[in-house]
Amino acid sequence: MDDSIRSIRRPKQPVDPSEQNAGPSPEDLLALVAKGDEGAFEQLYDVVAGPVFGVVRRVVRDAAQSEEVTQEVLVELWRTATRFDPALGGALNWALTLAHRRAVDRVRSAQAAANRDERVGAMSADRAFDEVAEAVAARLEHEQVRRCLSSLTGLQRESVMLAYYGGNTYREVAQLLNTPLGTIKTRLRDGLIRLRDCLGVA
Amino acid sequence: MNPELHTLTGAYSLDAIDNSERGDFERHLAACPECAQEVAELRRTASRLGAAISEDPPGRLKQRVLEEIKRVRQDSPGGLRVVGSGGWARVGARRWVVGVTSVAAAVALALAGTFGVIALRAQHQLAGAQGALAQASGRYASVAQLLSEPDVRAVSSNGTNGGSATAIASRTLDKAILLTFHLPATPSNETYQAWAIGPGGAHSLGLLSGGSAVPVVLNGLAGTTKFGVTVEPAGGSKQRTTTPVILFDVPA
Repeated sequence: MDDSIRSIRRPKQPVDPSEQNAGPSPEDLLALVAKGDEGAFEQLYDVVAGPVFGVVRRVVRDAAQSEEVTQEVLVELWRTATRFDPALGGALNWALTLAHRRAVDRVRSAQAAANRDERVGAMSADRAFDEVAEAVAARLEHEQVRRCLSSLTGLQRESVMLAYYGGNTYREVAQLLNTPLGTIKTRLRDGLIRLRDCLGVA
Repeated sequence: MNPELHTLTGAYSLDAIDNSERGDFERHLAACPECAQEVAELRRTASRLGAAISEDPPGRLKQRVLEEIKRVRQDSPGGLRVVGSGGWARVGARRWVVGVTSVAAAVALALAGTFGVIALRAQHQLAGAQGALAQASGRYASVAQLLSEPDVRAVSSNGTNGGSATAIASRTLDKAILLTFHLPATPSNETYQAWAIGPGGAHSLGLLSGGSAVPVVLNGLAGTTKFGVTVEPAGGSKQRTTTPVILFDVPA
């Protein structure tokens, strides 16, 4: 896993390079958590809770529900730490994968789905995207992500952001952007691939 | 690689896929290592989008989470992950897909796709077992690993009193896994017990809790020609005391 994710919350801390390797990495912490170490979990919480809450809040929106889902995700992280495989990505990637999935599950639960169809139908694409883009831009702390997002084509960027930050399915994205399904599928993939290459995700 | 399905790696990595399509795609993934690799990379890419919008949760959340974990038991670290060195790294990407998404789907796929004939017979049994499998998916890493071996073979057999069993074996790994499905409930003073049977006699593979698809692992195939399941007194027996309700050859 690359260091830029690991260090995402570091700006608040002293930026003394000698301290970079002082503490245990999130992966080390997760390995301790897997052995039932509650102290390590508390440290891990400090590293991942912010990013997890950020993702959940963005997708779920409702503050109370976001808090609930964040709690679920963090407890799930504790429960499944035993199954973490560092070969597939870092601890934060694992946490955020859980977080996005649970957030999306929440907004797509049966009742939500019904309301959502109406909402998607009623909302113009411009408005939906502006809403997402505005909120995200305000919080994009990570300059590299911002820069790489802007290297995508307009349709790639809109598709990826409506899917990831908006928690929309690709069908919903196609509907919002009034674009054929096949095109959206392709844009999501080639957009992500371009992002991957730009961000240097190995 | 199926080009039509392959374009879904992006939508899938963003959780932007309908539930109805997710199963199909996960079956595709289990059979397509390069797709699994791409999904792993795109997931990490998506996580970067997530990490960029970090937001501090309300302070009270921490205490609540820390209190809750005291009451939550951690999953078994893949209770069946008994195979030692070697294999894991090689199948890493695929194992991730199977482990994190749906082992049940992978099992169904492997049996349905690789072993067509058996699968047709066992289709409904597998469907029924998926709930139990999904529930315990963390413990099925070794099933997933076994399924990824090129020489994996499966044999399925119905029980004389109902239910069925499927054995999956790999000579390369020198290992087999026995899965049972929908065994009829036993009275409380009896239990199912699995056996590895060979010229040297039968040795116990462990007790099977009734009905659910609990996998039983056999490490080392030498000396075993058949798998059997018997009904034994609660707690199990040292040697089998009844005629097997399920008996079949270890896959070649």
